[in-house]
Amino acid sequence: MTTQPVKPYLTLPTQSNFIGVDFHRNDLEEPLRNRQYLDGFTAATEIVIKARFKVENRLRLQEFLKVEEASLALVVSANCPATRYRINAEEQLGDAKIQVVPVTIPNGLTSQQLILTAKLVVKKPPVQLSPLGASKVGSVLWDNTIRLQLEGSGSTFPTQEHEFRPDEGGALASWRFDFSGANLRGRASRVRLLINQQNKKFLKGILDNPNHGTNLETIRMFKYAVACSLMDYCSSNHEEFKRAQYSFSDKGSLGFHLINFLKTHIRNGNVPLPISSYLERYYTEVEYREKIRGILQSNISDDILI
Amino acid sequence: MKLNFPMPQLLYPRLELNPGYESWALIEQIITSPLVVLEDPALVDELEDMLDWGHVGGQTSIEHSKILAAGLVKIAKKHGYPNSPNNDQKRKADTEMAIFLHNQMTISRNEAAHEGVWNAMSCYFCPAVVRWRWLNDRGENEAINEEDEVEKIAISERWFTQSKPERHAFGRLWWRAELLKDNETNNDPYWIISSLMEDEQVQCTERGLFVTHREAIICLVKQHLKEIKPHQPRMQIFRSAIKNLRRLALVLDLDTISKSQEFNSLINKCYSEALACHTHT
Repeated sequence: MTTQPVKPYLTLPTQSNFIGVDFHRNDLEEPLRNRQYLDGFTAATEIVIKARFKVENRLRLQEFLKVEEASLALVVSANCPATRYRINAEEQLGDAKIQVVPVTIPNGLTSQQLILTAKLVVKKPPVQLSPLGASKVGSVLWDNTIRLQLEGSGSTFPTQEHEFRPDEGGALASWRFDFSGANLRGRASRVRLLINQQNKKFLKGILDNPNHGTNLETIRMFKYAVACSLMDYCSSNHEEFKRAQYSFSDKGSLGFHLINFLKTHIRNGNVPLPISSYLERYYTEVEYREKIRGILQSNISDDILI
Repeated sequence: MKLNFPMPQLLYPRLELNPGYESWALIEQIITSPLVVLEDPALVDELEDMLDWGHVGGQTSIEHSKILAAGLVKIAKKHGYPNSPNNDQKRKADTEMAIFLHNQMTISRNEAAHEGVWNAMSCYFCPAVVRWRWLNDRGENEAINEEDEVEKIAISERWFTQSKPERHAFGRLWWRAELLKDNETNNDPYWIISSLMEDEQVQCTERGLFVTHREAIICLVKQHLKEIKPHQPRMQIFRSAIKNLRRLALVLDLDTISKSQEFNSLINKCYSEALACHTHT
């Protein structure tokens, strides 16, 4: 099967020896990963992202792309589909091996998900054009994209404050899941995470900005407990999963959130576990429970929960 | 729990709709009820307990939303409410409501992205206007066919949404005003939504990630409104022009071009090609 080139000029693959990028939040050392949750995000959070470009050799890169005389720019764009907001920043490609391009996303303008894209773009085309080289302003020669989930913003995982009744634990309870069955319009079932509004200590622990306090541990434990609870639910309701009542692609469904959450928070090193393959197979309840327990026991450790 | 933040945003009552909740039967009743029934506020009283607010910002009162709802009813009455509206009345009412909501709500994009805000507006505060505007395309006297699931879903997405506020009866209006507001004009910043037809606005606001290229879309819209002649198939031309621009966005970075001199000529090229295509055929 032949493949048609998407772009009519030379471009680089995302994983290239010539150029790479790491996205960092503020000045945190750890680079952001694809599908990572941005801890502590609220509507009032101003997000500063620094794209750290690594360019091995500018001259060789331009020679390879047949744009020797062109002026190139490193562009970073942040794009929020839920709020239709986009902001970008750019800097001219220089000789330095590492170039940092910061982009500041103001508060109140993002929600649910943020897409970060780093690009190498033609700012000024070369005078002498090569047949294979890019000839127009704005031609994208290389790009790399990651998606971030904005935690606490709602739809990534529907969370609601709730007053717990005495038989639900009263003021001492922290949270629980509210699972509901398939709906009247034939769509997949829904899930909500209910947070106890009376438990102020717990609320403070998970809502405050983790970068300025000691709440990271609370958040880690919270995610661990949520993961366990989800797994338990899957295990005890495996028959319903088998009957495909839980769609894994329908946005907002239990299956959708489940896969999204587990892919992000339970990983084997840097590789997400193939959770969907576990869930979609037709195991018996006992086998199912064993498989799920296996995932939890073998993979949850200090460096796995983010 | 109230948290202090430097820039409080206004938080509106949210109605998180979830089938399986106790009030779901009531929601079903609301979206299938005729206009006369929906005019009785007692019908939706039960939903008040389900209203919720976000955490970050200043909560607005239920009365504030009721005042907004009264404003929407007033606009609807100006355009024929409670009689079934024709297409012209629908378009004019949409435009006025979009400007009204955008001016009066002063809501942030983060808050507007929460579907619950719009669900509360349609199912609790202003159900009669939704029924009036989105009854069905066959006229007021015909009841909604319960058996016709496709139509039921198509109508219900105007009432409540879980992922597509651009389809919601009120959410779509606010987003149109937000995305198509011309910030360069002091005289009438909403002149674009007043001038565009329904399908043209859909092209501008419902095309996934491309919607975020606001500058390019506004530039294309201005070109369209400047060049289009009354006898030309304006919707087809605009649709083709948007598609041309989307195709170019695959290989060109619109963010970079928008700051260069080539931007206008690129938009011009996209539009001219669409115009030529439809004029010749």
